[in-house]
Amino acid sequence: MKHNTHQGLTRIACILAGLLTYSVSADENDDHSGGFLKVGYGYKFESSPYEDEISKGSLYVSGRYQIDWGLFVEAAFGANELQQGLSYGYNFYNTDKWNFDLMSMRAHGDTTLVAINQDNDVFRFERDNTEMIGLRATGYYGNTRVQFTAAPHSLNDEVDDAFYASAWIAHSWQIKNWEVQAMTGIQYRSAEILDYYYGTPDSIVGDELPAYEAGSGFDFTAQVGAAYPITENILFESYLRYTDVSSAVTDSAIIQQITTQPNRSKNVTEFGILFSYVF
Amino acid sequence: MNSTYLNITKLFGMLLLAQFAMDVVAQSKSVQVSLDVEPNRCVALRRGSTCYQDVSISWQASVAENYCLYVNRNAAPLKCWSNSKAGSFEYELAAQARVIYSLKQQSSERELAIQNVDIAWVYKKSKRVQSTWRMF
Repeated sequence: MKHNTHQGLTRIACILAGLLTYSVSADENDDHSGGFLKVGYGYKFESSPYEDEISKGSLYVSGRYQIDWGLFVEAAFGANELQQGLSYGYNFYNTDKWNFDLMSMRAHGDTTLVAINQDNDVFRFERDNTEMIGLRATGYYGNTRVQFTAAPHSLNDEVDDAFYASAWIAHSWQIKNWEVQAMTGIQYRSAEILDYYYGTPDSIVGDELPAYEAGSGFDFTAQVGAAYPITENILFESYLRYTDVSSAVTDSAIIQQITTQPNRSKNVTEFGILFSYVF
Repeated sequence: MNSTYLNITKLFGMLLLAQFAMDVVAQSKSVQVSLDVEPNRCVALRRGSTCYQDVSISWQASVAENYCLYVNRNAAPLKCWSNSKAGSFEYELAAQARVIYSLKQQSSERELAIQNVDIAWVYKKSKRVQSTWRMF
């Protein structure tokens, strides 16, 4: 696994070096450097299979910064817990409508799932993040954005043949000084990723927990949100997100057991209302 | 006789000068105008997007006259008042750049008072720089 990872990293480094050497931009007049940092605090409700229902104050941090060479970092914390974290990448090609990036992306966040069987035996499943490296293409058509990602290389040694992909479309409307946004998307995770998080380990298959080997799966997400600028630096924001979790996850013996517990649900519903300071 | 004539001429000249001075003072008094615009700043979310703001405009002048309010030095006035010493006006501004309000006498091109409303943005660079994929 380590050997594969090193080979993969070497390939990625070569690609990155090549891209840095031959960096091209079809819209060189457009300055893509710069960014923002947004820190918010507000109320969050979240119901999901991954942890007990949340209904409390929550801190949100998000941001993006890109330097002149095209290297960038993106941060997302506080919302969408399965995929929060930092991403690093290289914006290697731009046209007047599209940005193309080579970057790290989180295919699945770390989880700690605790299942209890009929005999009241407690099983604790701790799994690491699955960071992956792939390509992202983002298109801008007026107030509509589309985005496609494909990540064939995993940095998690436990799932080194993983594949992650996603497709999103979002549209925003300006209503006076409000911005209202609607977004929908689909995410694909290969069988190896889902089995790592939701398969029943061979060591406990049997009387303790039923066997389950997860296949690949698609999550469908829809989100609506609104933002209003109170001052030059302070925003009021609110959002509602729903994710229909793949049956490859919800059929898991671990998840089936967990979702019988109170304060858990099979799909993800998230709502937030917050004030943010934009630097 | 000659000196009397000279004195009368001097006196007439002084009177003319005094009249001229009084005219100047009166004219300068007539242009004393104050113009207030509240608020004087409009904040939109993203650079380049239109900013909407209800603004209250009020003015006062020392002399009753026919006055007109103009926006961005357009030829057509926003509103005119007849034989007034004060006025107010409320409307919704929709702009992408600084807005200039000016007050003029209806018969004149001279701007008696000027006030600006500045446009500001939370995200000050282009939409593409200021957006990650995820809103949340």
